Amino acid sequence: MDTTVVIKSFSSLFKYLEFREHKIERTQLMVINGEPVSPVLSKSEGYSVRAFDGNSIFFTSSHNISDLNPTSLKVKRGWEKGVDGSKRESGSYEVEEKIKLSDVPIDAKIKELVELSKHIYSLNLKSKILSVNLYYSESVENKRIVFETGEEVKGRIPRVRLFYSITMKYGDRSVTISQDELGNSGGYEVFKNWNLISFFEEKLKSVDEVLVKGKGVSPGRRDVVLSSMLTGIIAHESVGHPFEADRVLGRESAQAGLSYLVGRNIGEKIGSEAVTVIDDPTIYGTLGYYTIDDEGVRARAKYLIKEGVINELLQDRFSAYKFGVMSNASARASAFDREPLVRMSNTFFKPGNYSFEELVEDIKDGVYFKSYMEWNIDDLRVGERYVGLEAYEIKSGEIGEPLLFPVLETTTFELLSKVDAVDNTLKLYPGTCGKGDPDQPLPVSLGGPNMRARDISIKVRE
Amino acid sequence: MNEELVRILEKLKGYEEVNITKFVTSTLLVKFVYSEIAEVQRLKEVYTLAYVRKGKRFFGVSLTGDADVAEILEEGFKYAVESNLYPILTDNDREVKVVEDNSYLESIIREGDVSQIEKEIDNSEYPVSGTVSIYSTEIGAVTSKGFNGYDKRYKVTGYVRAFNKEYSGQWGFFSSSLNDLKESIRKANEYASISGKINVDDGAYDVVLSPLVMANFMTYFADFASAFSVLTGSSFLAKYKPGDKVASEKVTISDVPRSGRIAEFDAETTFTFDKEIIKDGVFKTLLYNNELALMMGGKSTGNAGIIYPIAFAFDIQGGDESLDSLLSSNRVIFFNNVWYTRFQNYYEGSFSTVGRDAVIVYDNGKPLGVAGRIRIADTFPRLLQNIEGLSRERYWVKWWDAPIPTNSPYVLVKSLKISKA
Repeated sequence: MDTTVVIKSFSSLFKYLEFREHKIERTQLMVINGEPVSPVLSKSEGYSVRAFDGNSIFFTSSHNISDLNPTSLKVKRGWEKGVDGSKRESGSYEVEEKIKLSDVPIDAKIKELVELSKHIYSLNLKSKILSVNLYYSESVENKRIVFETGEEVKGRIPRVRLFYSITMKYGDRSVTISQDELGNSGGYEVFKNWNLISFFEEKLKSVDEVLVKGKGVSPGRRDVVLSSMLTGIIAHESVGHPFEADRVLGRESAQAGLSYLVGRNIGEKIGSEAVTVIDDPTIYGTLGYYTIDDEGVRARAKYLIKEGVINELLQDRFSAYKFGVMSNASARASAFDREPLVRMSNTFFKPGNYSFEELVEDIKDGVYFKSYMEWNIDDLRVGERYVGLEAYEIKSGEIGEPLLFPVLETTTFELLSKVDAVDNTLKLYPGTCGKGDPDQPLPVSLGGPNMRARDISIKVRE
Repeated sequence: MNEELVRILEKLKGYEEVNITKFVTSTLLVKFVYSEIAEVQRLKEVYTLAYVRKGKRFFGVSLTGDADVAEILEEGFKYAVESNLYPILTDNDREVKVVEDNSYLESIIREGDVSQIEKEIDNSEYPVSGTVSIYSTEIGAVTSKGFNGYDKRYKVTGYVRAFNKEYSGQWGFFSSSLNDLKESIRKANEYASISGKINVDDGAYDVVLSPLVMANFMTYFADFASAFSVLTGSSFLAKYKPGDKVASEKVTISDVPRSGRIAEFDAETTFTFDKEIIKDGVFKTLLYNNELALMMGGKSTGNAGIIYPIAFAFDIQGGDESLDSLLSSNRVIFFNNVWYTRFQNYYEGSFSTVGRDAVIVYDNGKPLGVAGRIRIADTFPRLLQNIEGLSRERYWVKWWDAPIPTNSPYVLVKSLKISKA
């Protein structure tokens, strides 16, 4: 059975439909405490159709195209009322592998990871390294989408990521550094460009200093400087998710919840003028890169918050219909057996004109959060908490001694309204965004400049 | 299914061990939003987990559909590296077949019949959102040791969130019958009906955790109990050995692949069995596969994943109290649900989690109001040690942020730290 036959078989029952052929090949390598583990290869490959009858959505998937059969939905009361019917775009997008992932032998990759692990163990630290675990993942995602009107979208994105988990102990202080800082789309050059030896040297020496010298923070309200790692997670969790239009409408209300935007309008002020948050899928080489979304809409940068004002939501064709706007190309599916949903791509705070030194120089008694461990946010995306890993006191305009795991617990509204300056840098971090049921983990980027916020509540960790 | 697997096995000669396991899941998923059906999904998922091993070298694959498993394994094995961490098959040459029959669920999956679900959500007092998944799972496994196993089950899981303006309640179920949806809707409505606000300041409080909360915590306890997490320094249990007291004597937590009707055999063809991980507060065992058992001086507990041992389902032993008696203290905070549990330090078990839905302050058994989205910010060891009471009534639950089926009572924990943004 070919694509045309499938589309024809559905078109008698459904006027709106997308056929998708979607394949992700992934190789995973692990080095556990210096010991390599043999590679594991995974292939997820299959077909799906999502179709809409004017009342409810029907989604079906299988590895076998012949299993894709239309079902007449006998739903009495459907939640979907319509769909943005603007013209489907055709086209293709791709990220180049300058060094093809398949050209570098797996054993050579494992050897590099083992040597990296040995180097980490050999670092001269005061803390004891209890474990070093490296998880390398390379993947190539291919998708081909054909719409009811015959337009076709093709995408090919190779991705490389390195997760790590390192446990260190000094006296009765211990820490697990478990972070997702390394990931881009591209070929093996991505891995080579990370300069991992110096990356881990710097990271572990910094954490070692926190364990050895870190002092307790006295709770109270302080001025804070948040690094791009912190601003990235804030852009994603506190702005990106609540700006997903399907979440505002309630489609995720039983899962990840609703949004503080329920009952608020475009044009309302929710942050200071220093706050502009953008979701931009068109940044080449990022994890969230695409130029046409899974519903055939041309991608563009979306200004979610513009100078503190709610500007636009992330929309797919279904949410756009309910809001009376056009989709802004935010529909993506994570695999052949998952429906397209409103998703973030690369979400970040827009840089400003300050230097980092200028952010710090007029703070008398503050805290600089360089990296974090635990974080979470409530299901309205209001109350949030970050526990610092590398954190430092700011005294009289200068970065001072390390602090032992200060806690920043605030609300999105307080934080966004108290940002008074952002610097002129921009760094993006990889992330895996979760949403939907069945769950759809999806690669994204998140980041921003360094940011200053005034008078924020700092607590002591329990 | 298994004849096809045997044919693959026969192509793979010259290895010490070959393991071919195929999973087929057929699902009908219905998603509803504010009591209207948003989507019907019909999903067929077919994938093969397989590996070959020779000495200390192995190569494993996870492949969807009808890929040429033998050819991919042969090719991939060229890249296998020598390692001390490799899967080991159990010496099991048995043939085993478990086939559950549930023609009612089978027909719903086949027909895409959503009428009963629609009827139940129509009867809800408050608007409800949620999903119901009706599915069959088939697992076929053959190995070079002569094992030939087949296991077919039917399940229904679902969860419901009821909305009473700004108040909400949530419940979930894990079952073999769609009839449990009605009870979940009733309980979600019951919790959503409690209204009125109350402020809670940061501090230590006695809390009562619902089965949904305990199921969420069990997702992380599964990782802590996995021998792999101890190996990688990612578990607070790395500091303990069997026989050590790790929890209140009222705590018994078991992994229950059998009584939970989850699986007959694990990924290394060890027959599964129910086992206590913590019994009467005493740490009994980690979850092992063969290779980690060998490495760490234990014995497989029938919990193999490849390399990474997994939990199948949890049973938290009930106590002798009613929910009302657990709530009857001077001041106690009831958590209907939590989400977004995150750890700052797996080795210490320090974490926070965010309350959602009906987080209710009770005084002498009377609800004073809803405290909103406050956090529990404490440590897992202290949580386990401070458990003081468990209800008689227990529920099999599973939901979006608690994916491992868990049979849990309501649990009273003394003096847990509460924090608020």
